[in-house]
Amino acid sequence: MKKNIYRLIGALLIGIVINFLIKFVIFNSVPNSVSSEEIKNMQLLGLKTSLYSLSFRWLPKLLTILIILLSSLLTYVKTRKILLSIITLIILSFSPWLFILGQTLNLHLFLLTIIVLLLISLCHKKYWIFIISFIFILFKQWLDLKLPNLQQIIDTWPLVVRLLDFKTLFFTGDSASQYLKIPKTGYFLFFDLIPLFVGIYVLLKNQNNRSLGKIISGLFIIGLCFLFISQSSSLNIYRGIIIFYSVSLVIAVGYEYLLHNTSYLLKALIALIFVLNVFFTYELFYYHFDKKNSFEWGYAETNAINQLNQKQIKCINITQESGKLKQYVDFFNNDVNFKTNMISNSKLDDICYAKNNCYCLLREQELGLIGLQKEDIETIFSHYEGLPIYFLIPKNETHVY
Amino acid sequence: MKHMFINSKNTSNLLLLSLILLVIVGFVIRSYQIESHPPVDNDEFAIAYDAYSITQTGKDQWGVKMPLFFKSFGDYKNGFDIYITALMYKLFEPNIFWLRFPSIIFGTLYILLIFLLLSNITIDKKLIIIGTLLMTLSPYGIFFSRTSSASISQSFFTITSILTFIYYLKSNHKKLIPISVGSLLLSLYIYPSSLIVVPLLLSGYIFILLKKHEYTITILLVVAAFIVALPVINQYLGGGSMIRFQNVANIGMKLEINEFRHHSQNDFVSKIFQNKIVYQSFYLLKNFIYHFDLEPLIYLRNHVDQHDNGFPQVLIITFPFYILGFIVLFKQIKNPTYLIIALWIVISPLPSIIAGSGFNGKRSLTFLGSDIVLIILGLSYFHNIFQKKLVYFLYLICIIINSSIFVYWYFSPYKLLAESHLYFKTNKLYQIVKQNYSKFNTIVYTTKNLGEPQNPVLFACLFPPEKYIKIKVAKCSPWCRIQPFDKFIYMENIEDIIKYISLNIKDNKIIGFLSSDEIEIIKRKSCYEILSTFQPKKNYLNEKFYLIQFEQCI
Repeated sequence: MKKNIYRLIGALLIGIVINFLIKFVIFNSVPNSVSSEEIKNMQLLGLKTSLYSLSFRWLPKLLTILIILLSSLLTYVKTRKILLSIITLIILSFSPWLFILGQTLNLHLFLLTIIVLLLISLCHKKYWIFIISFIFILFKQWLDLKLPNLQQIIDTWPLVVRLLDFKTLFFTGDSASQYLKIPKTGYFLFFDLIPLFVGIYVLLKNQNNRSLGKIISGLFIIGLCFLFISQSSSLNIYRGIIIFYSVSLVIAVGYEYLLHNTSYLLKALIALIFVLNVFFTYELFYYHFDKKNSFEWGYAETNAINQLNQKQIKCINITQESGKLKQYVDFFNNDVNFKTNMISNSKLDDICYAKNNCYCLLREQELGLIGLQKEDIETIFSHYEGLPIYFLIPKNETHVY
Repeated sequence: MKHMFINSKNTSNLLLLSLILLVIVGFVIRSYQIESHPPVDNDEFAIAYDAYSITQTGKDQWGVKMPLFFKSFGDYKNGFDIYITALMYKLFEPNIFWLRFPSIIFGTLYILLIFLLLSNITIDKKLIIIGTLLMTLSPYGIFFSRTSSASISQSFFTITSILTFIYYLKSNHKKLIPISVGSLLLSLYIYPSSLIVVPLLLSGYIFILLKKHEYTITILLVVAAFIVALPVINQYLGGGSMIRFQNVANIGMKLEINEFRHHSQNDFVSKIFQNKIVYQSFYLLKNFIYHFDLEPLIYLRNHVDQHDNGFPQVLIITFPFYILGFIVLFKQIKNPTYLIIALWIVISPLPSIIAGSGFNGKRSLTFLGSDIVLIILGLSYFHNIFQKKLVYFLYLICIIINSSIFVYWYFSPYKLLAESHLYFKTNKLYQIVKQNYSKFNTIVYTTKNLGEPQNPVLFACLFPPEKYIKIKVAKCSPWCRIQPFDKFIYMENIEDIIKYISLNIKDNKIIGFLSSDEIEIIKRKSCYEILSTFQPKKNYLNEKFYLIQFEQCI
């Protein structure tokens, strides 16, 4: 018993170190820019940060590590199986859904942390489901939760089917939004599919896992309720967060069974495939996430602010089309050395070619209004994958009508 | 021998009566409105005309005498269904009903096959009746029994082979092995999916036979299989059928690999993970899993095409037992009967996924029946509960209600959708030619609007095959395009048609089948009278088509 506890502590410590390495060193600057949703969340949490720093992401990263450690502890408390506890630690550390949530500032991680904390402290009580359900009321405002009417319930069912689709869970992820999606990856590693089946089988068959099974099924039901009360405009990864958490625990049970009941050769094979799958997924995240999803992030905006500062421009004119840039300029106002004026489309000609120090920063569709084409512009601010977004209109342009 | 085919414990009058009743119901559902629903597609018209050509000349439409593989559009169709249809045409008359009749028969006999298969899996008569009822009303069973697509016949012979092999396993009667293998090898000549299914299933048989120390028969089986398969192998390697595989290759994958390699500047790590083998494996695995996914299994998709009616494969009321069936199967996997069933389930989706499609009911139709076996295995887990008459009848009623939703959907909303979206123009042209061929000297339409539907028009007027073989001018590279022939004048654009008419119009016996856009153009340049108008009932695209008769302008 004592030996097991020492082992568990050792595993948790190693888990902390590995998670710190992964989250704070290797993938510290992926995603490489701030998203507009993160800006909104920072405003809500009263956080202020610099344009050149991604330190605000320490918070979700630390929360994720806490969730992982607590989950590992939870499985040990409920099953007294050290192997299952360690596997939970590993599975949650590398599960794409939790990893990606931990890389961005979002409010749903707070909810999950509280749920896991409550599970640890209340899992022996029969009424834990009600307490956790009660938590939703506290998060009502933050997460925009509402009781659905009958029509909304009917409308949400197809989403439930889609969300629990193997294709979505293990191969494609959210098909509606690219925002928190690692390319060619589902919410879980695709090799996790086999342990998921095994896990379900073990939980149904094996009496020893009854108490953990009850927690997982309870969480799944709560997860379904959460999905129904969250808004349809919310991302699927947020709406399904509790479901994904419960599925991760099932996967951990499956891995534990596989590793416990197979030959050494098969164990080694499982470990090898898992490692390869992790490398495949995280290579995709490291190299391709920012480029594939750059439209959803703010690389063009932060880059524009940065370069305009360097060029020592004192004033820029932007239109409603550049509303996203305005949001960044307002939030990072301490790092912005220029003034912004909002102008209307109809006066572009007069304003952009006026003899003053205020430059126009326009979108591609607006260039035609002042008789320019994108090839005429030298200073362009692009998305990370290279797609041009903002065009700085030069003052010395010879404008011919 | 007789006793082997129906488990003597299960042969009660009630069971037989139920079977007869279900077979009759199955036949009625499969043949109701068969001539009009679903719309006939281009492949079916091609089968119909080739079959007609065989009955009249003993040659296909390309003049090849009794071919094993029919050139058709250049895709070299397997011949079995064409010959069966030819037999129908020889005995009865060449029309759509007799074109689809063999599929109806195979689809109806499938019910019997599943009944026999279930009799080998469970001794519970009630579960056998449930399973047979599920097959009778199976959404995919009904869907594919109503088109002459060859996949139902291929599937039929594959399941016959599996069933016979299971009988062999139970009875150890060696005479059944040639029947099983023969049935499997016959499927090679029916539909290309069998190219993947047959070798894998055969490997499974060989594995089990070797385990039973049946060495002589295994060697004979391998030799026989090789000899029978030789013409098929030859056809695919050098006979032109490879076009089917070239057609379905995954082109987007190469672009994706290049994009991802570009992101990471083609470094060492990206070379390991971003390559054809990894991506191909990824897509194969993804598409394989998708065949057992919630979406195709239980979700009504807003999707209509000739391979998929969008209705869930498994009735929602049976879905939990379908899942449970996997667990029951897995637990008994060491039993050779269950091993063969597991192999059947695993192999069925492969033709579809190797062809690069996510879910294609037609290509993976070998699965038909495996879902029912799984459901019955799942239900057998709750054997005791279903012994209670009330529970049993309630569940039976639930299945009938759930199935009735499909039957209603298939013959009402789906019919409307299919009529409007699947081969609407082709089927209208078929009717026009059928009614007007003898009355007019020229029938014109544009390929921009209709493609090159030579088979529907050939079959509509039962154009003499001997004459067609002689006058036909074709360009094949590798898909074949037939130049205008006889009374049928089709060109790319309406302008070319107008030019042709202005040069050739000598009488008023020219009709045209044109779209509203084409009518707008023709309005300014020609004189015509509208004979009739056509539009899809569900006309989302606001399409309208006209049958017009050209006149000389005064």
